Amino acid sequence: MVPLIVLKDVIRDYNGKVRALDRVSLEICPGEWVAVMGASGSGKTTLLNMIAALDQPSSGLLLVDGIDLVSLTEEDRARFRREKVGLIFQQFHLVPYLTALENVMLAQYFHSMADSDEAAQALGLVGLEDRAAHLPSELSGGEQQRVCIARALINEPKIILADEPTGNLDAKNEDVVMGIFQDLHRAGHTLLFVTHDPHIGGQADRIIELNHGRLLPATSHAEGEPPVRALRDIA
Amino acid sequence: MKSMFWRILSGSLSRRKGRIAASVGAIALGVSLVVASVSLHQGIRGKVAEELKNYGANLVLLPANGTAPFLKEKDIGNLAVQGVKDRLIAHAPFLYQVVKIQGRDVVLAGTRFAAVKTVSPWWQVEGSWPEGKEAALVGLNVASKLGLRRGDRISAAYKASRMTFTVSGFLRTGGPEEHQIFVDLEASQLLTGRHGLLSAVLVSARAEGALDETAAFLRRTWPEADVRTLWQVARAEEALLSRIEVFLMSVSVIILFASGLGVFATMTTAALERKVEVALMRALGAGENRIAFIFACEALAIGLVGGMAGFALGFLFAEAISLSVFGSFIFPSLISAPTGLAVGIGVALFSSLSVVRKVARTATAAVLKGE
Amino acid sequence: MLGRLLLKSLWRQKSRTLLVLLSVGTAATLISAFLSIAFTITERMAQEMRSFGANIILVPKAEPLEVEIAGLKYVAPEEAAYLDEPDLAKIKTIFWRHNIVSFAPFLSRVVQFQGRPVLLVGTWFEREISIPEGKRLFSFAGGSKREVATAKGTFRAGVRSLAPWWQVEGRWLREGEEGILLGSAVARALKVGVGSSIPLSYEGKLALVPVKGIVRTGGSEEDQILADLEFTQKLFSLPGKVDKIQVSALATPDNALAIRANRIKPAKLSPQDYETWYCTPYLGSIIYQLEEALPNAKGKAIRQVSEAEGAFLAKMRLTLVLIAAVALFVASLAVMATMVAAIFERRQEIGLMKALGAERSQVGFLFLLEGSVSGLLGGLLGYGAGMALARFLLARTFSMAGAGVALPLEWVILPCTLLLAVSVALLGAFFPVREAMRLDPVRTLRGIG
Repeated sequence: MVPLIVLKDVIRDYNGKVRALDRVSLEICPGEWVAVMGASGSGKTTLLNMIAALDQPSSGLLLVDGIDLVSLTEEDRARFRREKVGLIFQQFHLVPYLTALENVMLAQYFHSMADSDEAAQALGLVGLEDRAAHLPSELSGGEQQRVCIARALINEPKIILADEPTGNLDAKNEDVVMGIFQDLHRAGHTLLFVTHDPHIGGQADRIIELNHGRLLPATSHAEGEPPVRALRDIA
Repeated sequence: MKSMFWRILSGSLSRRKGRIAASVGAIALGVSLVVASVSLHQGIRGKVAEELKNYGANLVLLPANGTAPFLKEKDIGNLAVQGVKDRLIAHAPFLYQVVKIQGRDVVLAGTRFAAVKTVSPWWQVEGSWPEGKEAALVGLNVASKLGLRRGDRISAAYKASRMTFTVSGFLRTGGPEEHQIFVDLEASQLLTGRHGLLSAVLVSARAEGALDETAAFLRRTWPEADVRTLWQVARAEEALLSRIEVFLMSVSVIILFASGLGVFATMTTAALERKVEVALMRALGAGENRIAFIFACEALAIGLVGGMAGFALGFLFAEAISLSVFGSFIFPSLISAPTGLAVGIGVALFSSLSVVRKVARTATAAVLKGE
Repeated sequence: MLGRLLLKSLWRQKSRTLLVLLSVGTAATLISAFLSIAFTITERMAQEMRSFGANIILVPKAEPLEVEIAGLKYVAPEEAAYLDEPDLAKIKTIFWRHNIVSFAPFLSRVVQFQGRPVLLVGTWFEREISIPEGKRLFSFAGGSKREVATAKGTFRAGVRSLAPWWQVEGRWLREGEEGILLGSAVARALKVGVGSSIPLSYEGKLALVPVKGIVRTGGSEEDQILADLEFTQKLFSLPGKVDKIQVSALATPDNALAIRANRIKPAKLSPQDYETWYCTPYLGSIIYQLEEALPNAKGKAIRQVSEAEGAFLAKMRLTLVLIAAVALFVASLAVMATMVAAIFERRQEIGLMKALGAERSQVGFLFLLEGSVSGLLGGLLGYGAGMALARFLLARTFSMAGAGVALPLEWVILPCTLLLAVSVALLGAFFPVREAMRLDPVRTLRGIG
């Protein structure tokens, strides 16, 4: 299978001093669920930002869906983000003055055309059809993160990138959100997670571990399939 | 169905009421200062000119050399012709003649008291202004020399004719008027037999624009009169007016600058809060121009509303100041409205776009990570 | 620890601190500049106006009745009264001596020129007189004493400083010179030019005097002939006599006290009121002091000038004070808005402090302290900028010499500005801090609030 994401000898230096990534080489195939783990400051988030075209390698090769991210202009990078990736943040980052539905539509708006029916469907997918008209401040943390997932999915991206998606959630909401990710994985989405929680990382197909910007020898995934639940059960 | 653009704009404007109100308020206040100072700057010239007429008559019309020794009263219509009328505030006729009172020579001046009150507002009358043809206003020095009191009757003789006047009040001016007796113009014309004749007309003309121009105009319309400018008064008026204007102009510029700075400070602080929002939009793949457009439209709305509110407020300030200082309203300055709106919108645009630029220069990811 | 926290917080968030300082500073600049201008400008304008002529006239107590016909003034000979020329220097010895801008004596009579009557006026054109130097003590009924000092022993008087707008074609007359200046209307009527000599006769005496110049004044002087005082005293046989003195004095607009003093005799004021009145440069008190100095003179305000001037100055001051009030109000609101925004940005910090177990009062104290430090700093900066601004504006509009000018009341404006800046900054800080402390620390910390 042709890998969806290819990194070869990627180096990222900040101010010529701090080396956040040190010759990282990596391939991720379509449909794969990869968890990036490591201690704080090991370069996890930098790696994720690279693939999201929010950051650029200082040197090395970075291909996502056949696009060379190193040579893109700022304008092309914006287009890459809206067409190829769906982003999910630890702090959710919903626009506070837009309703759940409108927050999903915002991504559509930047991508092409806002369509409230489609957005409502996406909210239905994460079990929030009856919360569409609520403002983020009226939603629980778990609900907010589910809106983020709906927003990340709405433009049918090639890859879903999530930075500590359950970092601000309690155990119950964490289960709900992780259940959605498992469904997405089963539906064939490519997922890349940054997490420091072994329990979360353990649900992925593959764990890669970073230490001081270097990739540790590949950790193969433990056997034992994670529990499978239907989306309806979660909602 | 509402487009997404309108959803963003209306959502931001209607659901961030506190923040929007703060920005609109800051702009309104800044703009109000600008509008108030510009209005005052524009309007004060007329107001001060009005005030300065208290300096009194600035033109005097005398019989021209080589013509008749008197001006004709009917020629006073020359002051009412088109082109002259608007330049004049008031005018008062005078007929002077030395008469005998209690055996002494005294200057008797005939005039119209209603007109004198506007041409010479500094006259201080102890007692009351004369009413009717038989009352006289007596200069303080005449009163003390002749030992006159209020209500006394004085008899004035000129050649064979004689008239009696009642002293209604005394006049204090600190000038030559204290040596004269003032009576109604018709009475003095009757006493001296100079019907329809005048010795002088004092004119109080508007100071704005050149006084010389008014004088030249009067010379053409009334050739029998020698028009003299009273330069002492005219100079004071012109000089002070231009200084005050320059002063208020500088004040306006400073206020413009200061309020622009103040509004900018507030707006930037308000906009900085939205750094995360800008970063999120970028992460969602929006181009910088698109984000800038959204923010610019919002700033435009804020600037417009704030500018209009500021215009109304500034107008109120200006009128309140004018009312309490001059006791009358000033004409709203036409230039202040566009100036105020331009300041409001300009500052709002500048400050919100500077945030978009600032975020564009910092790493989006870092903003989103909360660093 | 508190001090370190304060310094760190102000220093670390430089841009925010700068913004607050800028905002407070701008407000303070406006306030201090307007305050000092409002106080200074009336004085400056009063001075400006003084160059437009005298506002006080001194005449003999027994002022003769003048009969004026066509610009010629006649006085009955048995009534004639005079002031003494040597007394003129006393004008500069009164309490408000420094407010006397200029003065000039006049002595005039109708003379004949080729059978035509014309008014000959003797005066000082430019005369340097010596005035008593040193200090003079004024004591009051209440027991208080005030000292007024004259540093320089000379003073330049005369019509050239009294009426600086007079223009001469030819040249001015020197002190004691035998010669005349013709009013421009006289010159036109008599068809006489500079350089010729004309005969003037007065009560049988005849003098042939050279015409040195022609004056344009814009007033009644254009119908007169002007000469040096000494020359007219000789011609009229009135050595050392003058019949009126015009004085130009800087006066403050009348208030209630001055109006009361004008109505009743000043001596009838209470000792305190009398002292206040005497030691304020009202036109009335200056005239009163002039009459004290020249006992046989009667002072009169030239109402045409003084009335308009007083009213005008009072209105300009009011305009400025009102503009200052509006600017103050608006600037205060702007500062408050900035403070609110600046503290709103720091909700998380407040939440953190609460989460760490800080007392409400501790948190509040820290932020209010920070607010007062910002207010104080901004106030100081603004005061400096405001004073510079005031000087600049005054220099531009009233041609006062730039930075060297001492602005009055600077010592009042500084504390006023500081007090205002601090209280406005504190007020701006108070509400958002209170609001932030009410919020749930967990939510603010997570950045959701």
